[in-house]
Amino acid sequence: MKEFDISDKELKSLLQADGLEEPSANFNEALLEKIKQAEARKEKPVTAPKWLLILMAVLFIAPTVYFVLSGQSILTEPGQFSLEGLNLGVSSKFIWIGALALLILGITLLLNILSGRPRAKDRVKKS
Amino acid sequence: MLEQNERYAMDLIIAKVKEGDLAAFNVLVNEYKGMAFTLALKLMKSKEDAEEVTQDAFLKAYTKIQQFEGKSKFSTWLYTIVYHTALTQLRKKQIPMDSSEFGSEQAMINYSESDKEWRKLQKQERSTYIQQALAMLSREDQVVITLFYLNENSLQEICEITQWELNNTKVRLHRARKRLLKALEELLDDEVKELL
Repeated sequence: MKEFDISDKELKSLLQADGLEEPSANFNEALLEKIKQAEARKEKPVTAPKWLLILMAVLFIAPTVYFVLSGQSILTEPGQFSLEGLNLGVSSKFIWIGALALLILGITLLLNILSGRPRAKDRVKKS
Repeated sequence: MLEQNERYAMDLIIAKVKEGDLAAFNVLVNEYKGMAFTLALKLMKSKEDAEEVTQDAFLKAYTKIQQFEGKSKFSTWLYTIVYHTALTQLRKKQIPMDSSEFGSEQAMINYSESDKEWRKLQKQERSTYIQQALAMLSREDQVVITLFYLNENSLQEICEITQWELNNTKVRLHRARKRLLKALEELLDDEVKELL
């Protein structure tokens, strides 16, 4: 029995007769909004406020300057540290924890600043 | 000459988009959203999902436009993104690509009755039947039929979009066409049975 057949030409014309499916009316607006959001995320990294940077600098630089100028060392014996030279009146345990927290915060901020700086080739012109 | 001018205009628009011109990108969206959405719809089968896939694909195209070197047509590059974005979504939803309500093993239908019924139909009715038959095929079959017959993509372009081998594409197209006609026959047969 001969198989039912339609020519390629007719098939093409029938498929094209109905045209293409259309997305919703606000497709373009929604897409442009998505693009703007993506660009904003790319161009506006989370940066540290200036006051925090100054505070960080003071907290890191001040003890360093103090140690350098006073000639005191936190190294009492080889392999042993002592923070008594700071004479802050708090347990050295808390000083170490605080210093560690500040160090982690400092490294995080530094990495954030370095990675968040927009590169020239990534900048997008708006029109 | 007209095609050359169109290609030149498209190159200019793409160059503008590469500079970050959103208005130029909007021109591209208007030009290609219909086909991109149609392709996504064949794969996703839901308008909401298809729209999401199409938007994600356009967003990817915009952010990766620097990677478009113009070796192929922009449309081919875009549909490649649409196709693969849809596949990723299907995988996430754990929907297999080759699922179809219409099996490949179909009983032979009386050719003469289907053919007679087909000849009686007006163009609009035939078109409606074709769309119904297409909807009965698997996602893969719908994609290859849509790209080849509706969008008039070449076999080479279909290979680029789907990452299939050329021979594989030829076979898939041939089989999809056969299955489309069988689905159409089935629909016509049902019509004949209803009339009797």
